[in-house]
Amino acid sequence: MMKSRILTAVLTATVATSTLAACGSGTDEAGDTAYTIGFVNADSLDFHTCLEAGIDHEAQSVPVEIVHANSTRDPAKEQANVEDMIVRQVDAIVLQTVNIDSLEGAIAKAVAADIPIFLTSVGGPDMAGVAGAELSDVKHTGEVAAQWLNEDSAGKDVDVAIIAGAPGAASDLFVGGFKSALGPEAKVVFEQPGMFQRAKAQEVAENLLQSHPDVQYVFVPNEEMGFGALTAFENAGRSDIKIITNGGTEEGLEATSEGRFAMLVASSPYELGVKAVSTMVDLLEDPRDEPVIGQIPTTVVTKDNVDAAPAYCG
Amino acid sequence: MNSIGLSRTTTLRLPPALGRHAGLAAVLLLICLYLSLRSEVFATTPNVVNVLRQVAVMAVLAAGLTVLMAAGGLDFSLGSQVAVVVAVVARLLESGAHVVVASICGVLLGAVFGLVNGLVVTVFNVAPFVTTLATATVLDGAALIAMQGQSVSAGGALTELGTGEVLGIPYLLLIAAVVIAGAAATLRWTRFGRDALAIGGNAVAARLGGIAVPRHTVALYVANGMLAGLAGIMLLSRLGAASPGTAGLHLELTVVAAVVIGGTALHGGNATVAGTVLGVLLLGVVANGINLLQIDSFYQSVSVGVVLLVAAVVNQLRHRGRH
Repeated sequence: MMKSRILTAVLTATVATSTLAACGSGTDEAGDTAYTIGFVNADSLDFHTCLEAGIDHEAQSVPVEIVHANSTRDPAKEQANVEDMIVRQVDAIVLQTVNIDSLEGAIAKAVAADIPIFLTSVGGPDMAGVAGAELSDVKHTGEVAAQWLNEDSAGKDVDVAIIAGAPGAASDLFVGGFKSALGPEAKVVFEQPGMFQRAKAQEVAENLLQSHPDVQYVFVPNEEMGFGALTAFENAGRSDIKIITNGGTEEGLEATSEGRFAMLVASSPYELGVKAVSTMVDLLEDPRDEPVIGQIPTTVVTKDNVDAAPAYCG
Repeated sequence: MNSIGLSRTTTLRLPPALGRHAGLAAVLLLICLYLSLRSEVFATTPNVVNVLRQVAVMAVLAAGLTVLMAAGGLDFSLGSQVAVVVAVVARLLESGAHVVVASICGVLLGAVFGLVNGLVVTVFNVAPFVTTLATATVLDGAALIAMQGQSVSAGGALTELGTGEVLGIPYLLLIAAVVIAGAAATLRWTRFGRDALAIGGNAVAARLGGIAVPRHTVALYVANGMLAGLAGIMLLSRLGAASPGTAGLHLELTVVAAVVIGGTALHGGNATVAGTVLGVLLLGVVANGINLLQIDSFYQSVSVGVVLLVAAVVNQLRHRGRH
């Protein structure tokens, strides 16, 4: 009994030590870098890994040291990650927030600690405290998608389905923008959440085929879900339903060039990461009174102009 | 008058397996009836096949978990095991491995996960809840590492499995049916199944009665791991690609919910595959119905929760009435 307890204790200690050592080895110690920037990522989807790749690439060329943290979709963990960055006394924080609603607390904490904070992709209603931001205008993306649909359908009456993301700010903005710009001939006959997940979107698309098999267009606000819908349609032998989505990964562009996605609003999280670090370093060198806020450029891609899309992951 | 009533009751008595779940079956039936009235496509053959195909993966996991829970075990890592298997098999297929080799690797990987869970539970005596929650966390991370955070296409190697049919019945459904039948037969007619129930009822008495409890428990976790491997291959065949966020805790909770709503006791000693099947069908039908009726996204969780609550209460009332 005693032996097994000792064995347990030794094993636990070994595992814990090696885990900590492994975690520690991932963080570079400060060398000759001018600044240390804390990057708090929101998740580990394609978008987030490519954003991080852009940040790391630009950090090497400046050079600055990057301290990484990931909030794994948890707003509470995001707050803790920002607090950790403050305790580590980083020179600036770049934040890809989990959720627009958790931003306020993170910004307030950084401002109170006098650490400049830069937001990527998602901004809040009050941007007064931030040093800068490079934002994705999701409402505009929805509008652009609807405008393309209006042109493509050329005034004919069409049935449209929406496979939205998880209920909440981002998805609501995408869908709101899309609906607001739809022409009077386009009728939304189906709208259900795909929770930003490929598997769930596929399930919803399968159910859509049962309830509204005559649908002509489907708007899906992210590419992961777009592929879920595409698989559902292809499994059912339906190549006639036009999928309009948002993303720009290599896989997505290939699907667009083959006509499997009718239209893709493409942007590059890698370039967003590069821009975030370069702008943040500029702001550390030359602080401004007002936040420097830019928009992430987007490109409307169809099978005719796939080459015009920016590289998604560098 | 009384005798007539009694004789009627006798004539209408349901088979024990169904009678035990009459409450749950009634809830499922009522929901199906309601959906048939509200949506003209709900009761059509293509939609029924669609629902059954959608629940096949959940059914495979739930059938295995029912036998494990009969023995007082619990595995909160099944969804995460599926996530890793999906990622690894997709990677293997992407790198040119033969589909059979990749699939065998997937099932073996699941067996290894099950073995780790089983050994930690039996050798170190750690509660299954804690053990499998910890391994689930490890495996969630492992799935992301295997995918490098990006989608991995499985190509077309598994498409036939995911979309193919024989006599109008999807392959995935056939596999699920075989696994369910196997789990039911194991519990009812094999010594292994009866031993599992005995362990769940009273592990000490089972040990004193000559049952090799640790070996049995490890075997159950390994079997569940292998079923998670199979479920992972089935899920990958449906999706065509591994992507972050596939399976994981959400799938796991759904599976546990299906088993518990079906009437299997969380503390072991009492399990029913028929109840699990009803639980799985209930969850599948509700998810399908929500889409067909286009229930507003804010009310979807509420609807699912209410149905689960009602089903659990009805099933429990029925159960209590028998004692």
